[in-house]
Amino acid sequence: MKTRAAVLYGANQPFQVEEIELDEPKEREVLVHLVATGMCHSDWHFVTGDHPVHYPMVVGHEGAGIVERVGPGVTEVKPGDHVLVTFIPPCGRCRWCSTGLTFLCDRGAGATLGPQLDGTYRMHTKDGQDIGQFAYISTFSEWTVCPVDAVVRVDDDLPLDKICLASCCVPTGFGAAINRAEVRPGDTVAIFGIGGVGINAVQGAAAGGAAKVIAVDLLDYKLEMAEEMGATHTINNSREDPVERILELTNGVGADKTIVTIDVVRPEHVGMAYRATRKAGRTVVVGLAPVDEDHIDVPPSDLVLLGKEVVGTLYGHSNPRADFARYLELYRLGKLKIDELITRTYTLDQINEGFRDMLDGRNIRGVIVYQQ
Amino acid sequence: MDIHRIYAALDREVIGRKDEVQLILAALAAGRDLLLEGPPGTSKSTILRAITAAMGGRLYLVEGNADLTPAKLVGHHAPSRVLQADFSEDTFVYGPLPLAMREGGFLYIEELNRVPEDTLNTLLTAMAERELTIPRVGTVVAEPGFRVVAAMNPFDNIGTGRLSGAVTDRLCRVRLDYQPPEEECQIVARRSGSRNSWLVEVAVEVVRRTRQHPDLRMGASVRGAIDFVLVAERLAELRGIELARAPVDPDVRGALVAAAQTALSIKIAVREASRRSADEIVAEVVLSVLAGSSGPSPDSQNRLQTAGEVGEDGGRGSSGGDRALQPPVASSGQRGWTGNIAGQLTSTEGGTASGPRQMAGQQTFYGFAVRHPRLAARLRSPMTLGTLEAVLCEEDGGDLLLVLGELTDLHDRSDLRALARRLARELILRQARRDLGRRSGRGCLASARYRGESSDLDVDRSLEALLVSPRPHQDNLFVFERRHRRRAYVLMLDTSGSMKGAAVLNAALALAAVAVRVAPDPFAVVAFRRDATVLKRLDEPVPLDHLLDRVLSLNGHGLTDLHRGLHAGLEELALADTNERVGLLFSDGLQTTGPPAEPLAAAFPTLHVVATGRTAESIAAGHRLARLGQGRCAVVDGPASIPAAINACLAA
Repeated sequence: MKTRAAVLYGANQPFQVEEIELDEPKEREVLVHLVATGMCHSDWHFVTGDHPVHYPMVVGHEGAGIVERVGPGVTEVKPGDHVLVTFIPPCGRCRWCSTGLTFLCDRGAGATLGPQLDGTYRMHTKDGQDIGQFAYISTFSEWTVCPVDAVVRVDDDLPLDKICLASCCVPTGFGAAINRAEVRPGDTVAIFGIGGVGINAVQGAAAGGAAKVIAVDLLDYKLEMAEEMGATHTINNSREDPVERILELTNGVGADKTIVTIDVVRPEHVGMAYRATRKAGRTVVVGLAPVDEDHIDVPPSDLVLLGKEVVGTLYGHSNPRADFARYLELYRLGKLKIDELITRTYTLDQINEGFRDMLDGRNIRGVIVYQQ
Repeated sequence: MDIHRIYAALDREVIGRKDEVQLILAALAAGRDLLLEGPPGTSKSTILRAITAAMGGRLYLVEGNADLTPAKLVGHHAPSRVLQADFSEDTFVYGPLPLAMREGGFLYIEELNRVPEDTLNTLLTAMAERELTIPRVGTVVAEPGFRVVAAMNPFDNIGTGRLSGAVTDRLCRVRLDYQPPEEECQIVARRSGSRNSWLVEVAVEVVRRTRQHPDLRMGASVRGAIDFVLVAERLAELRGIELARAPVDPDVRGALVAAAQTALSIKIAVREASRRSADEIVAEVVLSVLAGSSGPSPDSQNRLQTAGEVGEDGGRGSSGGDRALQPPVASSGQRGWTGNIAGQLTSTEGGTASGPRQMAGQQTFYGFAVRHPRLAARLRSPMTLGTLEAVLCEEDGGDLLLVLGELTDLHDRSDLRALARRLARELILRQARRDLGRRSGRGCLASARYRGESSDLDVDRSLEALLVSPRPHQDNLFVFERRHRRRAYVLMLDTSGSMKGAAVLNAALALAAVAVRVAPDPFAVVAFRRDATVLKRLDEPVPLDHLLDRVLSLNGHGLTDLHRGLHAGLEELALADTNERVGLLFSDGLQTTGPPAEPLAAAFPTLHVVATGRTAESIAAGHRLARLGQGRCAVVDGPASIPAAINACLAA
């Protein structure tokens, strides 16, 4: 069949929105008609080449859609089911999956390569060239074929054009606070960088019972947004030194937990969060750094003498199959806000504009809504 | 002028006040005009009367208020005589100013700071030129003895800021404060004719304590003590009770409380932040004074001294000394004495429970201490509303609201945060009420048909109308009135995240300034961030203090939707029955969510913008919206500039 998709033909080139060929789902694969997809800064890392992928490729990894057809051997979902995609299709059998770390499944290693799990491609250009699918899913396409392991069924009553964010930035940010920072009631939590992920870390920290939720960003409007989502204190680090302010707000002790959700993480960003963290406190790095960054600004002896932790997290340590439903139940009850995070919606043809708005800091989250 | 003789005469007439009387006399003898500054009842007019009497001159007394027009000071042509004899000097009825000038007397103007600008200018000419030109009459030249003496109440307006430099430059100033207790007792005894020295002593102690009471902004003067004594004695006579039995007889105490309430409650000014009534406070003070008094005794003359000492120390928290005269807090355990009033005594600093909602601050006391080390050191000790104000005045001296804004944003000092809010509320209210008192003096004097308000007859125009009218009617009368055209206003307050802490105080200040400026015209108030709330509808009668509470309880946070705010404002204005409708936007102009606000700004008949942001972007946004709304944009950079900015926007 044919589908329209935004194709990346190389690093630092705009998305080409064009009609491409899409194969039918094979063994344990599904054909999904996408309803909406979020534009995440991680996708941009593949545009700039911070994280090289095999071009040509269709990226996009935060989406919601409806199952159209299923391939052989699929029993989990049926046509018409509402699904969220996950950017790791957990195998359920590897060491990581079997110990509750499905977001670290070995299959993740193939995310940037392009072919499906069986090594063949489902997307092709009109002249027959194979197109890779990021994380096996490619949500910047009206239709996609992906492993059944990469979709999670969700309840039909939830609006897919909103809950598409629950496929990446919600679990990543919310989970970073709850699962990785392990926010406890009374904690002081500082979140550096208020984008789609950071804003959910703010929500997670608030939901975890943090006393002070301190949001740090360069843009006042993002800080205002953070306040709407539960931040009690805001620091604009274009005007104030966040480390100094956080120490001041914590009587010189430092925050219990710090979460780094900056779009492009640099060594000094981790250092900044680290210095704002208390003794035996935890710094959680969530945002991606360019692959060639090879260190973080953390003094080793300090790490020892103050007993601090610097940890990373992928997917906010969320297990999609277990956690999506939990997060969506919070959403349904109004305890987790998703609608409010969507600043603007775009058509697929406006994808380049959407990413420009993201880079200009105009959006918390921009969402592409597909015509149904 | 034989000043020795006059001084000797004064000394007999006036009790105490040696220094002040000498200064006043010296200034007047030197031919200077004079400003007497002091609270009511500090013998300003007594001294002045005594001086004029001793000098054999006359005293012309004029009460300064917003209705004091130039004509009331200068005089007017008597209409009936003009009808008979046309305009001439003979038809002119002289006002107090030319009379005092011609006779070389004193023109005494009370509450000078309340006199409208145009009237002050008339006065200024007379003071400067020593002559006055009256149309169709001629020039009145001042005789050598002519002096202008003005009086001002410092509680009404701190300092002379309201008066223009041209006026203050031509005045000397003598400050009169309350007199020591012994002198006050002598005054009360003399004026009341009372021979009950115990009662006099109690009355003086009561009024002195009202001056130091934390819930009172202005206490009672010695006049209050005189009235108290007089009323108490007549009441005792009427009820057939013996005042001396106060320590043992609750009925007598009740009578004393009632007499004091009658005499004092109207003379004192309760702090805006207090939740208590004047009567409650008077009752508390009287009972606490009685609690310390053992009743009339032979040595009451000695006890007078003690009472005085404690009184000067402030009557609150005095350590050691006369146990009997300790403050009410210490004696509140005496249930039997205080009866049903006891419950009210505990609420001196209470009452915040129903007050503004607490909000988290963004700053810490540590950071505050880095910026204001001396002030912070003093703020470590427990504070009351009164002490906080005093400390801020002493340590800061600048714009109190600026530092109060910082205090209201302290995260880790909820006590100071709450107190600072209450004090800010009080300062804003105080300022607003002061400004409101002067408000009716605004607008231009213009001739208008008589409607039973102004009595300042426009003789020319009235005569013209009367002459052609076969049956003269009051409609043929024209008077000078301050003209005012009714408008409807809506104030839209931005309470988004960019309006935290001090910014909420600024919004409250803006609200008060607008309320004062536009009264009695209808105005609505809208608060907006991501959504909009109508805090006051156009014609909704909400007292200013309640409205301020509504604004101060807003917790500045979240996104800014200017579109929503302007839309709500337009909706309110649409309900107005006036032709002229004015919007006033108080915001940093930076929209962070919602559709563009520009089309709505253009939809306002007039939209002024008070721009609170300091960045170029914010100021540009303010100017852009004001341009679209065909209004003005005023940029503010601190609380001090807000009333001026509002006035600049709303100026005719």
